[in-house]
Amino acid sequence: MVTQIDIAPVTFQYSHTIGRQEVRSGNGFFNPVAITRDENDLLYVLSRGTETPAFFPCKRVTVFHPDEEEVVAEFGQKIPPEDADETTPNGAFMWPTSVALDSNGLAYVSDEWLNRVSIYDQEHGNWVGMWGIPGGAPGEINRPAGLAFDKNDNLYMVESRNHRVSVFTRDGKYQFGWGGLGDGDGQFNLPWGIEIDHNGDVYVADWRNDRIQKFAPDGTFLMKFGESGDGDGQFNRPTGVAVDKDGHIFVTDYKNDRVQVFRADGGYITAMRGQAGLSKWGAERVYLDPTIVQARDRALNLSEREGAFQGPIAVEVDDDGHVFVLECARHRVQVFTKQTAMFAGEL
Amino acid sequence: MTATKKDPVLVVLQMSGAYDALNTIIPYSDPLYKDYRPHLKVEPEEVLAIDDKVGFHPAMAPIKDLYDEGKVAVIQGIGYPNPIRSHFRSMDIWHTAEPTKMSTEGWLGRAIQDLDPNKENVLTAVNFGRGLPRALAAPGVSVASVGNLETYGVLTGIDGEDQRADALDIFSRMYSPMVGSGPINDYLSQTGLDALKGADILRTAPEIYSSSIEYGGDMFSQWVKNVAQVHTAGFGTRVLYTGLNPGAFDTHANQPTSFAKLWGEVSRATNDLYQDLKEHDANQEVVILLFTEFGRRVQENGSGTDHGSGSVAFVMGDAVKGGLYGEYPSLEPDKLDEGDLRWNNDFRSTYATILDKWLGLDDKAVLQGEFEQFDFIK
Amino acid sequence: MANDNHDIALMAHLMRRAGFGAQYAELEARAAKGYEATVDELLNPEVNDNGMDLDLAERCFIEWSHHTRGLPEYVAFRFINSRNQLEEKMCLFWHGILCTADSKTQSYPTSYDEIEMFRQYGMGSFRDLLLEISKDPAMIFFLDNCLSHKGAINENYGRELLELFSMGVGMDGEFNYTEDDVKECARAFTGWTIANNVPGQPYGRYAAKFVYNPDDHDEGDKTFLGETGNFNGEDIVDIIAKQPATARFISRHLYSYFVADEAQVPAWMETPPRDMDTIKMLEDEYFRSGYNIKSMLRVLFRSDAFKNARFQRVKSPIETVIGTLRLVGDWTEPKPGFEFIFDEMKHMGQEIFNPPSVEGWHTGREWIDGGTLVHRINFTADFVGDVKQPGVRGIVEELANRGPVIAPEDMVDDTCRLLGHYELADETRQMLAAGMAKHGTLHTDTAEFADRVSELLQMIVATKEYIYA
Repeated sequence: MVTQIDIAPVTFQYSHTIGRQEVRSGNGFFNPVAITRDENDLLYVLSRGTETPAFFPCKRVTVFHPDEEEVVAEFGQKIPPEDADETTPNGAFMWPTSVALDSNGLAYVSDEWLNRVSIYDQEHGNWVGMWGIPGGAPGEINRPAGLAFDKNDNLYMVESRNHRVSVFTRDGKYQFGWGGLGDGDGQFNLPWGIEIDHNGDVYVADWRNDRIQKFAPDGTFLMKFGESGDGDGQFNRPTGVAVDKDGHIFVTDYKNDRVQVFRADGGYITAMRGQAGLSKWGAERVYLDPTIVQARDRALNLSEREGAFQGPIAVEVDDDGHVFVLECARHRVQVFTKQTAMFAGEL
Repeated sequence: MTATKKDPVLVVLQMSGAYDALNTIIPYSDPLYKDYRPHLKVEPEEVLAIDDKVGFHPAMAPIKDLYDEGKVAVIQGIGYPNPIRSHFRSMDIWHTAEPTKMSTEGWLGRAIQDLDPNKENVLTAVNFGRGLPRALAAPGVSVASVGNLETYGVLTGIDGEDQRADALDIFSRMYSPMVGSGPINDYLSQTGLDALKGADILRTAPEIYSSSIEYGGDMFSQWVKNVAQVHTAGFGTRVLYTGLNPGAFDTHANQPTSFAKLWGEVSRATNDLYQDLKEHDANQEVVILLFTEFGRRVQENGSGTDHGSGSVAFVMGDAVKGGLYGEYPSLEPDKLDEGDLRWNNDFRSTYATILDKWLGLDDKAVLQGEFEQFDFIK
Repeated sequence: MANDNHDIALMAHLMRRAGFGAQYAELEARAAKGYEATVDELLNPEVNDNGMDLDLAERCFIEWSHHTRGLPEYVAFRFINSRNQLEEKMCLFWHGILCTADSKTQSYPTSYDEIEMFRQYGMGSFRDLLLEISKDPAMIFFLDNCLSHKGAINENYGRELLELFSMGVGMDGEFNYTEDDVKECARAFTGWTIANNVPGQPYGRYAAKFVYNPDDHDEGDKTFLGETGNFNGEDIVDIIAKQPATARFISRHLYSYFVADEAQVPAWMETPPRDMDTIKMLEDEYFRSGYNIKSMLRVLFRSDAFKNARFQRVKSPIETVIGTLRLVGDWTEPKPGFEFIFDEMKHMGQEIFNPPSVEGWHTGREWIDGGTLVHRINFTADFVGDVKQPGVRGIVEELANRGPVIAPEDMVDDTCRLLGHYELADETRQMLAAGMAKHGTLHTDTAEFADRVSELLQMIVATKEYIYA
């Protein structure tokens, strides 16, 4: 089915859904919050997990191929809250928020409770290091959220409680930063997701200000768009942002349960609402149990209710026009393909 | 204080989370078993065979040892009418012995009322764990619930030996009944003083106890050790209850690793308890019931199993006539109950046997109904 | 000063009953605004800011998102932090009367929708509330109304609606309804069911939805409580709402929850109310206001019976835990480990979303047994004894402000006052003062003073007096 919007130059074809609720590990996610992609097209999804100790250990990064839908690696682990202090074991998470990959393929995971970045190797996800000093001074961090690397392996980190963006070398040496609490240009209020586009420009999901801000690589303010609301181009707590090679900007509008798509200048194009079907991993589970199959057959408006985005929290794109929307509340990724319009000129 | 010589004692080990019956007592020679369990199956040569059909999971060797000595009754196909696949509700049913309606009274709570009708002993029943299982709840029944035997008591947060002694002294005087303060205050006074008295007595158990048995370091093993400490201390405790933390056996995923580890710990602790009691010449008066709330799906889900119904339970001790009881439920697809093992004996039959033949109580009154009994008690 | 103290003591009482307690500074501020003003503020949550940053809480506890927030921990977090305390307290009130248990319904999102419904309707018309609970998906599943069909009724909901949700079995020794009324009631609710829900596999649970199925509704005439007609569920609710027994039943519940422990519900037919005059006043207001719960609450909180009923109720486990956390100022924002708090209530005998049966929790002295008493005392003592907690630090500072030295009796009295004007029996007070006197002169400017306060606080919360609210 094609989502066709009036005179929209861009449409999105639903491709498939990946994932299922899987509490501890395996073919699925559990309250996933972040998604990224490596140069081999593998996707990395970070599951935040739960606060319920019965489900520990439950948090992890799942690495999988989006077409074959095969898990190739898993790493990282939730620890009980009573261990979330200076004695926290290396490589463990408490409240993980984001995952980003450097040019060597090392994975960096931010943790907003432990205020640190943990680093894992490419092949096995073994813990190789960490850094982070809690605090508010430049170079210290307070509740890190989104992470993104630029082409030179500088790590751009959103610090939600310091309301700023800080840029570090990959081993944690502070370079520069900008921001501060407020709603003026270049200020933030509890910012969350971050994206760096092909030109190195930086986009930040300014969560509580209900807007997206765009900056030059050095932090110079370039533009902003969005305001509070549920109309076109308005947001209710935007969490994630991604920009594709055509400059189209995708924003997960978390509490409006949609993904909005914008032109490079911030002009509204369209919104996606989700149309998930039964995923491969979901089917593996469902068909084991005839009672679930029957219950699904009987369910009222199954495709409508189950298809819709619930808690879209992060979005990733590739150069082939794929859009991967991660839904926290439904533990899955919906994959769409951007369609080139047959006729893209002025009418 | 001396206990009446050799009063029968019941130890209950509750395995929360629902262990996978099919991989606990394994029908290893049934070809359907490996079809249902492509990833989770235990190879026939690893199974600790009981006969040519079924055997224990390899991690259960310490329980198998007791079985070989004729001290373990394996209750196959145990369950309750209209199986519900909710942990909480199902555990409630096992606790209250009431499958059809919700009830607040526990089967052991009623048994305790009968064991100590005049409330002469504040330690007739002791629970080790966090929070009191509903099995032990009944009006007027006071059960000590011990998270940590070494530190059990009121006002454990007050630092300093002298300060704490002063605090407890004040506490006991504050809870002394005051004239004319009314029935609820009198009840509070009694409850507070009982708790204090229970704690005072219980605290002596680790001091009295010595043993060559070294229990595992996990929480469950430590609680099982506490069971031995309290029983051998001779406080006259008749019901001792403990279990795994909630959800431990809930192996929806990664079953092979966690399942073997848990059964390894539980089996070792169970055997340790038996050996410990034996060392203290206290093995003959103790029967152990080990159970879980339901079974799991016959068909695995790839790395684990989901909630099912028919299960298996164990009754152990010198007084037990070892062997297989109940029937192993058929694995034939058309004999399954919505994909689960079909139960063939009501869990209350096992309760009735224990109540009547072991504790010498009126099982019909406690269970509020009559259930066919097994003959697993000598 | 005397007057101030009286006002603050009364405010402490109001906030313990109409809320989960408050720190002394809040009591002072509210007392300055006045009792009536506070009652009004509590009664009108819709015009007030609840003072919570739930948005941020949902971001930290990601599983509390707007779709999956149906977690008991979320409910507890609101109890602790909402400024609209009565609104939350009414959610708990109705949760304990119009009971469903997640042990059967197995869907936190559905259970949470029910709590949200209580938040919306809990202080409005009781008739509307009965209608909403009859449409509540958790209730329909919990009491099997989805299994009640035209020609083959399941009486479960029909019976409990009358017995436990509105009228009670009997009043003043007389039965309120017959077995035929139960059956007719159940007939009228045929067709009130839930849509086939989206299963929890593979993408997690969805909240269930109410549907009315006219094809499964029994369209025949019914005779219910003496009236005859082709009744549907709504008509039944209308008839129930106008019964004197309903006014009595709700009045007794309000009295037992807000004023003083009543007998348990099954005894109500034979046991008259403790305070018939107050019950009568509430019954009158029920009819005068058109079944309005808020009006009944207003009358109640303004009554002398309420104002004079201090320390007449045993605190429930939820009141104990939430009250302690509010007192010490912990959990004002999310941090890891909240499950622990939820478990504490469970271990004291009260689990949010899981009342032990459709009768709800038994209250009063039934909260207390050997296990729960030890648990209650130790939990409370551990928190109030922790001088790092902001609320405890505040008490230490307040006491130190009295001067360089404090007399043992004054220290006991002042600490009780700062806890919310607790009243100790004179013997208890003397024992605690003697305990403090053992430490010699109490210098408030020493490092040890905080330890003394910590010990005293732990002793006070261990008293029998502190078991009551």
